[in-house]
Amino acid sequence: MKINNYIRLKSPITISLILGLVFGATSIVSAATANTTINSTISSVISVATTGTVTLNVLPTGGGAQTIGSDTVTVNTNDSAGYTLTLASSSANTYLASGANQIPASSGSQATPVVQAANTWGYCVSGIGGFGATCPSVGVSNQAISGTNKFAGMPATGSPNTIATTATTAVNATTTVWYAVAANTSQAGSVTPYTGTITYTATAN
Amino acid sequence: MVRGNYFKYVFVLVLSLFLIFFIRPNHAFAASQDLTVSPAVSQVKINPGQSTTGSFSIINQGDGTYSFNVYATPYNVTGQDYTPDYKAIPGAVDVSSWFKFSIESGSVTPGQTEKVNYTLSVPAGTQDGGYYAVAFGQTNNPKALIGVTINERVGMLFLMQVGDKVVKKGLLQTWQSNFFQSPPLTSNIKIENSGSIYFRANFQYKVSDLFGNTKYLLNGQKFILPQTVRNLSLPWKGSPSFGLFKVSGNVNFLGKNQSLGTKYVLVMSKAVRIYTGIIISLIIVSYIAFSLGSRKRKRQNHRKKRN
Repeated sequence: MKINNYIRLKSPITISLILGLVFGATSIVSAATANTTINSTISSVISVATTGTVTLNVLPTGGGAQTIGSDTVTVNTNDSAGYTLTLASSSANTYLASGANQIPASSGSQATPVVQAANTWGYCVSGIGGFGATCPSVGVSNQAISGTNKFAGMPATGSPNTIATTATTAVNATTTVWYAVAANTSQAGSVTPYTGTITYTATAN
Repeated sequence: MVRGNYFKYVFVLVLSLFLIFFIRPNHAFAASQDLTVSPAVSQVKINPGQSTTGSFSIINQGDGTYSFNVYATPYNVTGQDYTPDYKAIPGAVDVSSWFKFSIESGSVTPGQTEKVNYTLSVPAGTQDGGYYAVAFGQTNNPKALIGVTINERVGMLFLMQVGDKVVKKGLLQTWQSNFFQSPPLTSNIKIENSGSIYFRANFQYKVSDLFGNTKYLLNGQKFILPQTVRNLSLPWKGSPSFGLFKVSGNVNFLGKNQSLGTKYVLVMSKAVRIYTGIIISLIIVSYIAFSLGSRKRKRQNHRKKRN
């Protein structure tokens, strides 16, 4: 009697256990033998971020006044060869123009930058070429022309200068480019401001 | 009294805010224009007279809408540091004419991706060999009313092998790391390609201390264009101002793995050199002073003994 009751009471549980074991084991076996291949191609990317415009207003003085501003260029690439960032004027002209009036580029070069002369404009990138530590550390407006900060003239579009390069991938690699305009009272004042356009170019190495 | 101080603090605060926001000299605004191109590099093998198609993406990851242009240029390099040159070389094939793009201009809003399809057609009769070009996406900002307008252009580099008759040949020209250096510790690898097509070189560069602990490890890959020597300058930007290190590595190209033998480098910054010079000078001066003093004492003792 006891045995019969036991069988009757426990039967559903036993059956459930057996079913569970059979199907559970089956599903475990299935999971163990099914293979999933995961393919993933990570695309190589390269990007440049800047501000778009640098404003350099000058209130000229007899001896020359200088205004310095900066632009931060941020490059990202996951290409293992790294990147090269160059800088050049967007055209064959390297001056800032206001109608027929011009502010020519500094006579210095990236290899041999010079203290800025009045009525010129230029750029400086710390640690590159001959700039060394001669770049400004802060922007200024209408100061007397610095005798320590050195600037190079903007190269024409066909002859860009390299301002940053890496041997490998880059994450938020920033390069600060300092721009300066110096003018004395002989520089023609302008109703239409002096403007110019430059292009940063980034390519993988 | 307390009220007076309160007004003083408010005045200073307002003045500070004014100075920060209005007198700040000509710094450009925070980066807002971001141009991304993907992929960054494409390697293509194609025969003369054939065409191939593909695409790349122009992605706006910034926070402002901008317009852009799409165009191709040749890709050349100058010097061993590989300064890029995007001009057509007179007399050489202008590979930029091989490209046709589905769009030549457009605009992208923040977060938008614009797909650009291209068809690359190599004219029949083109000589077998390596050809190089860049497909550029360039922002086309309206000219600023004041100051310097900045455009960005980002290129997808095309390394193309036309035909099969190409020569792959190159060698590791030099592996150099001067013993005495100022930071950053820098080593150079020069690889020469004397063939007719580019090849890729993988390298590993390691800086370790005298006990063999790795301080800096760099794995990279560079392409070497034909008939050029490429100087890979490998600076360790975080190198300390003083220390003795071992540099080593290996470079792998054209199926050959070459070891870069271990070299020792003593890094001393300018300041450390000055301090070292001062310390050495002090030691020398102290030694001379001590020698002169002891000689004088000896002479005095000698005189005393004689007297």
